[in-house]
Amino acid sequence: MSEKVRFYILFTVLVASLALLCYANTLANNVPIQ
Amino acid sequence: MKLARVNTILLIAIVLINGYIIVLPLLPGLFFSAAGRNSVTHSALEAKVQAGVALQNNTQENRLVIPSMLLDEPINDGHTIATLRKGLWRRPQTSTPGDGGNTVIVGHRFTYTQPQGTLYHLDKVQVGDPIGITWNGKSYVYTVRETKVVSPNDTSVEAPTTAPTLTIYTCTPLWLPKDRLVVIATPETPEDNS
Repeated sequence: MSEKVRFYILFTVLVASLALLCYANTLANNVPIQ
Repeated sequence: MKLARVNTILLIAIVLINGYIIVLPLLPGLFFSAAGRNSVTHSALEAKVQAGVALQNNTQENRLVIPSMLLDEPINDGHTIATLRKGLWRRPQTSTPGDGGNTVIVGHRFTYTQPQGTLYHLDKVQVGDPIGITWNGKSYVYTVRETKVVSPNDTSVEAPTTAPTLTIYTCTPLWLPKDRLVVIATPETPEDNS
């Protein structure tokens, strides 16, 4: 696998990880009953 | 060669971010296990509740003390949900300990930002456990009467009551907070100490 392909894969996984972090925090931020 | 170095940095960042996502929610549980339910901290907090929380703290600060979950945190007042970012939030449309009625206090079960896990251990609270509150310099001691899980649109837990009541709730379960875990307490009576 070329370094360029590996870069695209790793960059995509990094963005997905950041999105997962935001989503996980949104899940926890849901308290009041309404 | 340069791209290889960038890839290494990306890989390290991915491992760190995912490690943070996975490990951080487990930390409060690990600390609680290490402290233990019958630890010195638990005994100290229970003594604090019985002695009157106001005697131990700055009397200007409203505080909630729950020994069974090793909690001793300030209660914040505010009119928007943003108050939750500071920690425990007394719901503004509900009563206060001094006024009687239903005082409702909520908090996040866990967040990745501060404060982390204010009510993380609310599931450790059992019927009969003492809860202490300092409110406007006065101390109030409650005893847990009921714990239950309700849906997130069950507004009955915030309904006014004629008898003085303390209602505390947070999200449950921890990993997929689709419901609300509710703890209902009433002022301590002489029978609670017998």
